Parts: sequence; C-alpha cells; structure tokens
Amino acid sequence: MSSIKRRRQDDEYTPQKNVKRGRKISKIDNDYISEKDDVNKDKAAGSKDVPIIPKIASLGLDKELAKVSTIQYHKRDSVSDLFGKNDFSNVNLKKDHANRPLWINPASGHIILEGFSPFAEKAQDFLITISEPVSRPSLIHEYKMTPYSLYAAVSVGLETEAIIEVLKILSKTEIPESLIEMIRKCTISYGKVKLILKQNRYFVESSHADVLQMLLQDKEISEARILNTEETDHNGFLSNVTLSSKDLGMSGNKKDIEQKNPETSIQEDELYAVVVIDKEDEEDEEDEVHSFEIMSEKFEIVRRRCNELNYPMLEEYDFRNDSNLPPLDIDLKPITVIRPYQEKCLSKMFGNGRARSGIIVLPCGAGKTLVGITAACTIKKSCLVLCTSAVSVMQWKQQFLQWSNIKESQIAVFTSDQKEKFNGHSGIVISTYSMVANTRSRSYEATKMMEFITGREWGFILLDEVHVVPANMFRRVVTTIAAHTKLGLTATLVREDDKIEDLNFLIGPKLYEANWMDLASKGHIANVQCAEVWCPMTSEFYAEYLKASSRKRMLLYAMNPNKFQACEFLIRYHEDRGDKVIVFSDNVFALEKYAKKLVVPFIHGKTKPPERVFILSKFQHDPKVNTIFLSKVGDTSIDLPEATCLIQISSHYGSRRQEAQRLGRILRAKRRNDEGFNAFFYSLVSTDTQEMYYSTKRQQFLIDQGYAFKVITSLEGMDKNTNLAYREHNEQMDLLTEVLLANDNVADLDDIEPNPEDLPGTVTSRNFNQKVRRAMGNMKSLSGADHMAYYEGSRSNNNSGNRGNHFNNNRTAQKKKDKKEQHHPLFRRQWLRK
Amino acid sequence: MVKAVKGVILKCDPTVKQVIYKLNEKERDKFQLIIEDLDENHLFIDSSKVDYIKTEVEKLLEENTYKSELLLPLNDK
Repeated sequence: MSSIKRRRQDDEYTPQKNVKRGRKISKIDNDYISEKDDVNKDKAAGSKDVPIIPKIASLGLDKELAKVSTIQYHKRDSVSDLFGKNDFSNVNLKKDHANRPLWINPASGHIILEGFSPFAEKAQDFLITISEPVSRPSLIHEYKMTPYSLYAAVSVGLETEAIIEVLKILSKTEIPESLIEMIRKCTISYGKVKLILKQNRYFVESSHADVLQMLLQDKEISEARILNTEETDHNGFLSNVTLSSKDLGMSGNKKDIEQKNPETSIQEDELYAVVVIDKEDEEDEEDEVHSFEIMSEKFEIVRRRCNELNYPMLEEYDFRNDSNLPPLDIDLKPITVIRPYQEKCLSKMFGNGRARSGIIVLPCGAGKTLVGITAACTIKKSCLVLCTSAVSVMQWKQQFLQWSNIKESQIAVFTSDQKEKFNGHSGIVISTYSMVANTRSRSYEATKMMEFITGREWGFILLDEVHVVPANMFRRVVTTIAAHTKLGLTATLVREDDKIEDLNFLIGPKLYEANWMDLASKGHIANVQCAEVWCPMTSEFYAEYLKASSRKRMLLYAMNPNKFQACEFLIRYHEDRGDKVIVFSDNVFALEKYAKKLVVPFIHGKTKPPERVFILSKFQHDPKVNTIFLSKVGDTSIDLPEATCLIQISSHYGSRRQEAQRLGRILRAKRRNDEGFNAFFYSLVSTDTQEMYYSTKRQQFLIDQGYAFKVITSLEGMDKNTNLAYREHNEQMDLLTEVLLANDNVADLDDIEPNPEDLPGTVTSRNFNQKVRRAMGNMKSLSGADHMAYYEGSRSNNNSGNRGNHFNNNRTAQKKKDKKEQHHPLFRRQWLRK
Repeated sequence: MVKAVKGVILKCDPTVKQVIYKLNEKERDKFQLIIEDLDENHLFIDSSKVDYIKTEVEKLLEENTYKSELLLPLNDK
C-alpha cells in the first residue's frame, strides 16, 4: 500500500505502509491530505480485504476540525433568506479544502466533485462505486448516493467504515451525521449474506454466523433448509475458509486460486455457536465463512424472504470449483486485446475468483460485446446469450467466432427461423428474449428447443440491452432458466418509466459505469459534436399546426419545409466533406417523403431483409451512396462504423434512451482516431412546436454524460443555396396539402415488427400527456379474419384492458388482447392502469 | 366617411402571426384584433388589445413548447 501524500509543511509525517485497522498512532500531523489511490485500486480488485483506511489521516483532520468548530458559529447574513433550507454557510470548510475535491450536500446527499482537481480521477473511481453518476460534464460532476448504489458498493466488497472514511478524507467539509447514518443503515445489512451455487447446491453463506442464525429464525427460511448431519458441525453450519484472493482470475490467467478447505470449528453451545476465528487466518487474508444449504426449489422463496428481512443476498457462483457442469472449451484468441476499462469492469465481476451477477454499463460502441465474450471465456461453462432481435443474434454469433476460439458447431442459434442445438455437453446458445419468454403456443421444434434450454443448467446467462426488457418478461426468463451468473449489458440505464430499479434486484447491482467523456478523450469512442438546429415553421404549416389534432401535429412539424431544407443542406454539406450520413426519422411517412425527394435509399420496418442487407452494404462500400435514411429499426444493433454524421428529423417524443442509442451509431466511427476527427450529431427541431420540449428532454441523458449541445438558429449559407427543395411557395403548399390529406395513421411511429420475436425495440413508455395512440387494429381484423383464428376455452370476462369496442364480441376482444400482449407490454401496462 | 382607428404595429415571427390569427378567429364575435395584415413579419393591431395579445401568445407558446420548470427562454418574438 502506498499513499500519495501532499504536505503543505515539510515536517514529519508517518509513513502509511501496512497500517492495520485499529492501529493507534500517537503523533499526528494535521496538515496533509492523504489521498488513497490504493483504496481505489483495491476496490477495483474487489477483494474482500477492503482497504484499510489509515486512521492517521482522519484522526488528524478530526482534531483540526474540532479546534475550528469551537470558535465557529453560524451567523445569518443578508442573503441567507434566498437559500432557505439550502443555506449551508454554517457548514465548516476544512482548512485545506482547496485540496479536497468533494462537497456533499448535507440535505440531499448529492455529491459534487471538482473534475479539475488533481485527485478527481481517483475520487471518481471511488464515487462510481458508491454512488450513481447524475451528471458528468467536463469540470463539475454530480453524483448521488442511493441505497442501490450503496448496495452495489457493498457487493463489490467495500465496507461501511471504509466508505465513510474515504468520504471524510475527500470532502471539503465535515460529512453530515445524517449522511453517515444513512450509509450505515444502507450498508449494514447488505452484502452480509450470499447465495452461492456450488456443485448445483444452493448455500446461504455469510461471514457473520449471527446473521445466519437470525435468518434461520424465520419460518420460511428454516423450512427451506437442508440439514445434512455428515458435513456440518453441531449447530448445522458449514464452515469454510475461503481465500479472498486478489487474483482477478481473468480469462487467460488460469490459476486455481480457490481452495476449499472445510474446517470444523469448535463448538461450545449446542444451539448458537460462537465461531472462533483463527487469528492466523485473518492475517493471511482469509475470512471464515459459514453457510447452510437450502433446497434448490425453494431458493426463490428464501431470496424473497431475505429481501423482506432487509438482508438481500448477493449471488455468487464458484465456477472454478463447479465440477457438475461440463466445462466449455473456450478462450479468447491471442490477438484479442481487452481495453483497460473493459478489464476494469470484468475485474468487478470476478472480484474474488467467483462470478457475481450484475449490470455493466458501457457506451454504445465501446465494446460491450467483447466484455460479454470475455466473461463467457472466463467462466468456461455453457452460456446462454439473450438479445433483443434476430439481427443481433447473428451479430453475437459472429462476434463469438471472431474473438474466441470456439468452434462453430458449439454455437447454436435459437430464433424463429433457426432452431439449433449444440453438440456435446456444453456450448453456447444465442436467442432473443421473446423466444425464451414466450408463453404462447410454440411450434413443435421450438418447444423441443425450450425443453433443451430449461432442462439444463447454465453457467452463465448474458443479457444484452437489459434496459429494454419489460420486467415481467424478464422475470419469466430469470425464473425459467437455471443460470448461475447473470450479466446484463447496456449503454443507457435509463427508462422513462422508472423500472430500472427492478433490474437491480432481478439481475444484480450495477457493477460498472463508464464515463463517456473519458472514453472519448482516450480515443475508444469518437468525439462527437452535437447540435440542435432550429428550423422555424413556415406560416402555412404553423397555421395548420395550431388547428391540427396532436397526431397530425407530429407529421406537420416533421414535414416542415424549412426542416426539409435544413436536412438537405446538411446532407449536401457533409457529403461534400466526405462524411457518410445517416438520417433518422421515426415517422415512416416523413422518412419515405424525404428519401424519395432526395433520391436516397431508406430502410424501415417493412423493408425486406435482403433489401436491407443490400442497402447497408451499398452504404458501406459504394462511394456514391453516402446517405441513408433509417427509421427506428436502425436505432440499435445496426453496426455501421463508416457513418460519421447523423441527422435526426423526427424522434420518439422525449425518449432519452433513443437519443443516446442513436448517438451510439456514430460513436464507433472507424476514423475516430484520425487527427482532429469529429463526428456530427444534428437534431433538427421545428421551433414553436412541442418538438422543442421533447428535444430538451431527450438531450438530458447526453448532457449528463458531458455532451454539450450547440444551438444553431440558422444555418449559414442555406439562404444562398437555391437548389434546395421546397423553395417555392407553391411547392410548399403542395406538400402541405399532401400532409393534410395523409391518413392519420401515417403519423404513427414506425412499425417495428421485422420479426415476431423481436422486442418492441426502441419503444419506451409514453409518459407525456397528449398522446398519439398507436392504432392496434390491423388488416386482420379489418378483413374479418379475427373470427377465423383458433380459439380455446375459458373465455375471459375481463376486458378491462380493452377500449370497450362495441362491435367486438368477446372473441375479438380476446384476440385483440393477445395481440397487445404480443407487441407492447409496456403499453399494456399503461392501459390496464386506466 | 373616413373612420380613424388607433392601432400599433406589431413585429413578429410568422409563427406568432399565426397564433394571433388564431386568436382573432376565436374572438371574432366580440372584437377585431387585427386591423391590417402588413406583411410576413408585421401586423397592425388594435392598440387596446395589446396586453390581451401578450398574455395569450405567451400562454399558447408556453403550452406548445415547455411544460416544466427547467428550460430555456422562449424563442424571441
């Protein structure tokens, strides 16, 4: 352990090597800051042996503060009133506050970090572990401590006292008692209990015997317990000594670090054992742990019970010692290089030689796939990968073949078109959420395949784009499939419907979240210039806008001729610079209109797959095709590293996630490492319309990641360019008539149903008041084919989810309900509420 | 016979002009807001209704753009 010291006086200070907990130091130097980079390093390693905070530093500060506080008193001054409850002028600043990077709001627990401080980087590592980043522009960062984030911190091995101590050191002010209390409260119960799968048996493990005793007091838990007299000691606990090794055990670093060392401890009391921890063990960095076994069929109950008892269980998988699951021969190819931040997130996952479940958040284009593959290569067991669409299934397969040495016969794909099984005892299955969570009738083959999946145990389940999965679908996946470790990958852990917190308990805590700006400055993702272009509505369009219904309004502001001109201008400008341009439009009507007018290829939900492939490859390889138009289908998982410029003409209300996902399309730009290279992201907004409001809302996520949006009120040179479309008034009027004549339905957002098993891709909730309602009626019901459908027994009387359509008999209502379930679980939830 | 009407010239965006037209339409039975449409950016309006127009335009634009507290100043009128 080495600590960086900063001293303002060069008198004595005590070296900090190997300071143990509780060690007393008599002579204290008041005037230095001890900045614990070792703290963070150890934390990253996730070792159980949490860095021991040298007491000396905090003691010194305390003393100093004590001195100050005796003479300090709070005086209200003339401006105090303006701040109300947020007047914190009575909070003491530490003498050397200029050197400390943090300020903590005593009322809300928000943490403000000075991003320019020399310690910022280390402080960031720490803060990212214990709190959620709220906003991270370049100079000042804001973080927020929440019970979840503290839960995550504990799960990677931090201890309560360590958190408080480090905060004390970094903070410019004293830490409010209330906050300390909150940290204590949140962390004291978390992480004490672990659920461990060893050789297919579930164990509840804890290093605190009393906690286990307490849990066993609970009726439900004690019922689930398996008493095995042969292996246990008198009180029925299994006591093991686990090496809390610092070895990260990453793939390619094969060491058997885990030793199983069953050791019976001495018993004194029949019922409540006091387990004597061997002092030597402690010094060898070993922790004695106790465990009892529970019935595998009841682990769900136990887990729920533990949550209720406020002792949430961490799930860990001791994959190295698992002899039951056949190993999978998979390793990264030697040429595969893992980037430092990828290593960092994996190190949090495999902290103590066991795999823990959780979520990793990395920006699009930063190599989430590789993280997933490396994790699979580390665990080396059968692996199930779930993604959102059939397209990404194929991409995952290809990536597996590219980065690892797995044989193609060992990768199976399970989609509506392909149902394969792998050969041998272990392998990888890649499928979509909908295929696995499907509860409706399946084809014979699919049923067989599902039996294959549910009938075996998986070492590892990889969940791509976890944020889009509706919670109930997720639950089904998690409960039907027996997997030891769950890893969720996502770029944007935000949802408009606040269901993110569900994920925390369904999968696990957030293990790592990367800083976008940081990655961009290191060249892992492209630098992006973001701009919002304001396009005034023409008076005719605006007149209609004021009269129109809300669905028509959308169409009107998307089709605004000024916007069209701005779009064309930007396309021409960037094509001349040699950029490849993607134009996004959620609205298919606008998409087709724009693309046809500009003679540019376009892809939307109804474009056939062969055509899509053709267009995409043209875009990638043909120097004449420099622009394509994409609808929502292109938001995720279309990988176009050629693209360097992105223009957005219509979008999904205020979805922050969509904005971020779209930005992700250009983050992986191939040319990102060229000197001075910038990618461009334009969002075209019609002024004085609702779009302005949505636009601000959408940008919030990216702004929090440190991106700055530049507002362009008029594009220079656009007026001079006479070749743009819709310059003439009569042309504009024609366009207007066309828009007005257009069916209301075309104002709907895109039709993302490329494959029945795809998730409702990018659609998040619609939490806004004036809503465009998606027309759920379809050709089938219009043509009367509803009555032709096969329909089975138990007719539901509960039509509450329906908009009581009087012509519908029960049967069509039922049918419609099914239809809804099939595509829009999020919407369904909203409707049911009404 | 010549009838004199007191009025003010209002300079505005084409969009705001549309908003005022809409108001004019709404209150047609009670009074006339617009005396003369001068050109794309100018209107000649009844001077007694200036305050009314101000508040109504403000209200409408607020509604159309920003609904919550955070947010940027409105586009210049």
